[in-house]
Amino acid sequence: MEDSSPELLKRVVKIKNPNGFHMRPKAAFVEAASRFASDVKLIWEGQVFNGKSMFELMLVAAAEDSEVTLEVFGSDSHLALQELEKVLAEEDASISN
Amino acid sequence: MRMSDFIVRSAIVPELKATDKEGVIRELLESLCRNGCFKDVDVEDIIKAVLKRELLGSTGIGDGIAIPHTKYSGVDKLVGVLGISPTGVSFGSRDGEPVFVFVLIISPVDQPVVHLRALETVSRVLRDDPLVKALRACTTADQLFEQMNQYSKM
Repeated sequence: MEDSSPELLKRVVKIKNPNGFHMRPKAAFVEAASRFASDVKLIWEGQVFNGKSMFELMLVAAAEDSEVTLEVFGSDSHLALQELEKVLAEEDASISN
Repeated sequence: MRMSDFIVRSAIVPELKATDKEGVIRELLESLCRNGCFKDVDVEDIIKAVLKRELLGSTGIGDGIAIPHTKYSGVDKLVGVLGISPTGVSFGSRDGEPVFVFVLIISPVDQPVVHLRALETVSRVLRDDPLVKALRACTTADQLFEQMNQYSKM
């Protein structure tokens, strides 16, 4: 169910995957973010990246234990934040490439 | 990190002959192998590893660019190779478009940060449309390396 009014939500998320925020979690993130109407941004090392663009997320070389800020704004921001935080916090070590 | 830190100049393939995904990966890896980048390693094994990675999701990131890669226990340092397809190759990219510019990367299993930085470096450099156009216009490995290096320094 969509939220009724747009709201800007932020959450700092620690990367737990031993291989960092690598290409496959990035692809999963873009796919998940694209399902929401909200704008999705990732902030890493002071730079802002469009969370719905694979090309932009390729520039986020966030290693294990580093932090990224997830920022969502839109009618479904609460649900988007919840879902995207899960993707970012994924720690499956078997996903290594 | 710069692309010239890990792209093997002598292995660059200015005109890929392959017309499918497996062929491109094979051609690029065989070029790295011919240039002495893999010691005591069966190149077929690395080809299999890169193809296995592709099965998990295409490394075609859109805009005619793909970065096939894997971490491989038989290498002790990051190596990469640039290849250009004159005709474009169907690679299962996110945007459904054929790929013309390939950068294949093999990295050691115990250096995840180096791997992440290499992918970031390639993406940062190849975001530049004029560079991609310039690369596609090159006809020799030396031209490609110089062109890439010129933008890479910026």
